[in-house]
Amino acid sequence: MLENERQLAMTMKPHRVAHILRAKFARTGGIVYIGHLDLMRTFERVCRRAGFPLLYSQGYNPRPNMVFALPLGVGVATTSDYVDISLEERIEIDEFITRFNLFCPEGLHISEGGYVPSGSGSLMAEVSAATYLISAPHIYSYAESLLKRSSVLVMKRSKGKMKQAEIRDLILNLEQEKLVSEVDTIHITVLAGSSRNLRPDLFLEAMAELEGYPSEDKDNAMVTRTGLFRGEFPNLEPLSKSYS
Amino acid sequence: MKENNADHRVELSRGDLLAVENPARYVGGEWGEVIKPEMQQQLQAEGFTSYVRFALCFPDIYEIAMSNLAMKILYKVLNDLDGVACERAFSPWKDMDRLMRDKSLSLFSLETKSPLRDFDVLGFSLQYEMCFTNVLQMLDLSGIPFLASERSESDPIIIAGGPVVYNAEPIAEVFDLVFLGEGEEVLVEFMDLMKAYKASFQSTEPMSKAFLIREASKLKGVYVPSYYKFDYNENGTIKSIDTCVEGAPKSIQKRIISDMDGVTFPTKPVVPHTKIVHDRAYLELFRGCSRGCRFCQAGFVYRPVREKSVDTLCGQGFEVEAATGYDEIGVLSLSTSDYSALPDFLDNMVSPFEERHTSLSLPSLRLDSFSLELMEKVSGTRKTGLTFAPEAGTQRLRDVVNKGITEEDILSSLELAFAGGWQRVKLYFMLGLPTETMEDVLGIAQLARRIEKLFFEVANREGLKRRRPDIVVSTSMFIPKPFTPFQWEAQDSIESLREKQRVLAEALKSRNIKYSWHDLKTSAWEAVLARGDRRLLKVLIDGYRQGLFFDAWDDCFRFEDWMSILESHGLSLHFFGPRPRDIDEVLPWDHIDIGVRKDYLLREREMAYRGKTTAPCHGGCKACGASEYNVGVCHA
Repeated sequence: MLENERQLAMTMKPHRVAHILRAKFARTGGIVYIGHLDLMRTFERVCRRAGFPLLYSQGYNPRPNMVFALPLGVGVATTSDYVDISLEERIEIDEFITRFNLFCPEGLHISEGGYVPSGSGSLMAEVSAATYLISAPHIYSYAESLLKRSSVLVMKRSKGKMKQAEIRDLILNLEQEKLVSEVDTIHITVLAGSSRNLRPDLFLEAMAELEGYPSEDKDNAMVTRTGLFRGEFPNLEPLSKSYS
Repeated sequence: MKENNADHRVELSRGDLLAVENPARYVGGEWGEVIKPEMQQQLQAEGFTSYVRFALCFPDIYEIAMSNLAMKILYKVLNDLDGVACERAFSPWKDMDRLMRDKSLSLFSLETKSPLRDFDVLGFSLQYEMCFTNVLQMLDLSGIPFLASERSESDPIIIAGGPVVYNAEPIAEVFDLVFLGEGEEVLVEFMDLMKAYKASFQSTEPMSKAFLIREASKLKGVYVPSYYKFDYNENGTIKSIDTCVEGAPKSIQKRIISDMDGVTFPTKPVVPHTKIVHDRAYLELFRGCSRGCRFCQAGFVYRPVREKSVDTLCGQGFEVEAATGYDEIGVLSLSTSDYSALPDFLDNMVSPFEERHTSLSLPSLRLDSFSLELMEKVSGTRKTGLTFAPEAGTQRLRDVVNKGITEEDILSSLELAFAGGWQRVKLYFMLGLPTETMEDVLGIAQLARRIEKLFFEVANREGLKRRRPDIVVSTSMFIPKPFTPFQWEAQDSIESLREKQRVLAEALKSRNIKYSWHDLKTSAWEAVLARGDRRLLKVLIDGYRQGLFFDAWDDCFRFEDWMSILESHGLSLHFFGPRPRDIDEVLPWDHIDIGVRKDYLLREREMAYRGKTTAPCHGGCKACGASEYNVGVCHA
């Protein structure tokens, strides 16, 4: 086919309506060690294996349209993250969940989902806060004392350079979840999203730098994202509200 | 007897995994991974399993290993067997290597995180010579002695296969068994032996390892390095290669698959979580190549040509695409255009794939008007680069190496390509080919210039103004590989090649042409390993002990260090690499039989000197010897 014929054919394709399915997913185990791009690729392949009618972008290099609420760091598990998947046609939510889970590798799991009205704005822009569970020895007392500071300055890599960043105002809340033997579990609520965001590793870094939290305990701390929210603290609303 | 305790599991902490580059390399758990539940139950309940545990080892990092088709095939062949459990293990990158040493952690399998010592068999896939030191790394990290002769009854059986084992002599004494040729059938036969061997430990008469090896040596295609002894002349050449065990064959013949449609093919391979080098599913069109380019080892060792039928390919293609979710299927062979039913195959595949946004990638296409049409068809509107491998700059030298491509072929297909909107052209050449002169080297530049000029002529004619061609000339260094008509040839010296590169770079100066080249020192060392013999093993072990491994990685390869180690053993680069071999000299691989006879290689060598080409097999048999397998193109 000639180049201009193909261009013509492309413009003649009917405009397709996207059905946006918002799914809540969890990840645990070995798969927490993959990066955001790898996770996106994995989702795409699961959907292809499951045979979902993915809506592809138009143009020279068509890609499926998938939007994740907030990238997950390497090594961070999650119990409630969100992804918007654009479909050419609606499929039953239950069927979607069953098939996704059937075709996805160990450690990934979709628990619920629903369709969101198209044009309801970007999933990424909605996110304003996140909660994380962090399990590590004696972490609560260090975290408590970190939060007593009026200023928490840490070194942060930004555009390839190390820069000092103030993170105190990014930490909204700290709770002690439970105390099981030596290992504390804390629950922190932090600002998240595209404008202001605190990565949990930076929080841990700050405890090591400023409070002298042992570096090995910091490195081995188990980190799990437990929620993504919109709205303003303390009136946060879970993202799942957008489809139920 | 082996212990197989499940609690040997190697645990990496979160801190360990986050301390290294791309931890996804070490976690396993991918889609398509096979863990046999019964084996796990046995291990957990009894600390012992009746399953034969096979660790499929690839001496390079995850991203390279997982891109290899042979690994996917053998993983399936082995896991399809009852009573056999195959897992994967690869070289940890330097950061993880250091961490494992610091913490005294053993190298482990991705599936069950078992230390490699716990396996019954470690099977190494050797795809290139520069990976030899990584075999040592993997054994070392597993606490397994390097030499077969140093290992005890309780150590795993260490075996190897892959294209490099046609001359594995520099590392052969590491292996209990070497599998020559294609492994799909012989590994099944070997696993039957292994099952009997392992079962015998539960009986009153356990088999010895020596007995197992003896039995395995009777399988066609299995080479036992310890059954052969090398004697050397005073000048360093080989005096003789003799059998040192009664009944061992004088020469060992490679194994091939006759039924390409019936042979196991992985349509549900492991799909990595992380991006790998070739991140796509594969199909295999055929094995072997009928072209007979005289420098190309693959062109001889994989003979005879055996095709899969279109029905088999389409079936496997749809299956693998659906089962993996990949949006790209790589179609593999040594020369795609030579597949006899290519148009038929593509007619069946392209449109169903297009509907699902799946693309086919067709490497190794010979460029002509037909293949340009194909590329239009399969790659959509993306005008990616075109690749040619003329290999030599003049017709004379192309005839010498039997590269059946003419300047007219190149220019006429490029004329079409340029008119069709292509701008990028990549041209691969070799420097240092037998009989090469400076005229041949400059011929490369002349060809590139002609292509540059052609682009502007076509652009003017077609009204494609203000566009520039993007021409990349790339040169590698000719390496005289075993089992080619050039196996006796000299290899050009680094100094001479450097001068040729300089002259060529000068002649190629243009804003539209880029010149890139392979590192000469890497190729010089590769030649030593490719043509070397058993005396190199102590050099390799010494180098490894000094921290030299990952030689296939430019930033890890230390040529000068290798040279000084080689010298410290009284050996020289010149002797193993550049030195031309006398045709009467005993070559380190003379006891290996690939089907193609030595007298044919010599005949081809004579043809090369006379500048005469040899036509491909499908135009009529050239009596190379491979017809004794009585299959494929020879049989037609």
